[in-house]
Amino acid sequence: MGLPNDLRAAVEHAPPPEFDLDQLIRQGRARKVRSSVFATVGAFAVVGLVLAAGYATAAGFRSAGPGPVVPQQPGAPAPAPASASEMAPPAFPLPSASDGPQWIDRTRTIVGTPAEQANAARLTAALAQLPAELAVPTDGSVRFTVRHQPPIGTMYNAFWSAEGMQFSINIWTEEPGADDDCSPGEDPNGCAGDRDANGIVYVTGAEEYFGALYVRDDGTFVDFLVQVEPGTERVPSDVRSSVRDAARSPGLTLFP
Amino acid sequence: MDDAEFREFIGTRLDQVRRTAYLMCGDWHAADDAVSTAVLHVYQNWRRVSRMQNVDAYLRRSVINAWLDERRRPWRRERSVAELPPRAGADAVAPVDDRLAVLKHLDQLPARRRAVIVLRFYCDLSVDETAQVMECTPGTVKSQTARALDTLRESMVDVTDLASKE
Repeated sequence: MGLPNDLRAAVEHAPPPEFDLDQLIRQGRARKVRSSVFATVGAFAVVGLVLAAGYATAAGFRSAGPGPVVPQQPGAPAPAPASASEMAPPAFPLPSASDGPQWIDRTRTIVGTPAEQANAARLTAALAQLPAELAVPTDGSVRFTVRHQPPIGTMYNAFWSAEGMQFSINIWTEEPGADDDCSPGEDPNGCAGDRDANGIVYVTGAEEYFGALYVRDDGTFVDFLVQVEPGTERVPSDVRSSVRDAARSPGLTLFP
Repeated sequence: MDDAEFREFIGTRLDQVRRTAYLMCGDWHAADDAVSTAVLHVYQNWRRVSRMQNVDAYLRRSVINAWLDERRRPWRRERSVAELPPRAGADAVAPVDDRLAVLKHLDQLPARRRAVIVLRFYCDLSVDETAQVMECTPGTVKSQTARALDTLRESMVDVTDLASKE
């Protein structure tokens, strides 16, 4: 027969595949979303570290007084007298509670349809159920807004700043069953997920930040991030566990 | 991402790729594992992959890499056991043995030589095309092919007409 014919004969009766192409595509889509989310968290962590380092440098500069005298160029205006209150602010914008977390692109906030506004209001009401460690302001200043986030589509976001940390929750929807079953250690972006009755929670973090992504079986993705502000060294462990629990809060779903 | 384009691409190649993977793995379960891993990988990189000149080569390479990666995992390594598992009688498996004899011979080959044989003599790729898939030089493909055919020849596999393709 010859080798080529032997090879063809060996695969003549192929059984049906054991995998479902649609399911694979859903897994691929979920991984891409998760990768982008965690990449965002990582980028934000880097930004936070830079800000913290810059803040520390600026604070040290203030306490040490003005730096060495730079020879003045002929014709240049005389420098203004320096005092502690007149020191120039750092060249970078320090975040404040009103600015919101750096990872939010405010230009994508939209008004939303009536249904989306109703979703945002319902999610806002659910914030009251979050653990006290998350220090959600109770004065009504924190609410979910509707955003347009390509390629995901509609995303709901709420953020606040409290106790030296910034909190942000992003909620959106994907096709149900978009979780995957990759083996531990295969995927650095999320194979450490823990399944519960309603979905899988993936966590990531370092001392300065912590993120929990909850992929609900109903297709809701809840991405809860916390990041220290300059002056805060680390995210406390009770806040981490609260973030992890809050991401799984029953009220934070788009399919109540 | 254009899912429709990806589905069309995979849909027309899935059967062939599964059979290729089976010849490399010698096991339909392992073949489906490798193919599903490769399909997932291609899907995740489809925006870039779809612009490549030879998307088929990328898909085949992904399957081979998935299979080679899987072979390297510790739990896939062969384990010694105190007693051999029971086997069916010779009469019952004779027709299957005939059909799968070539797989037994292929199993004697190192992984990459086995892949070269499958790509060249089942997928009917040229030396250059095989080199592209295997990410090696054409000279390496030729030498791997020659050595693999020597091994198969010793196993009484009919490779007489393939000398010109070495």
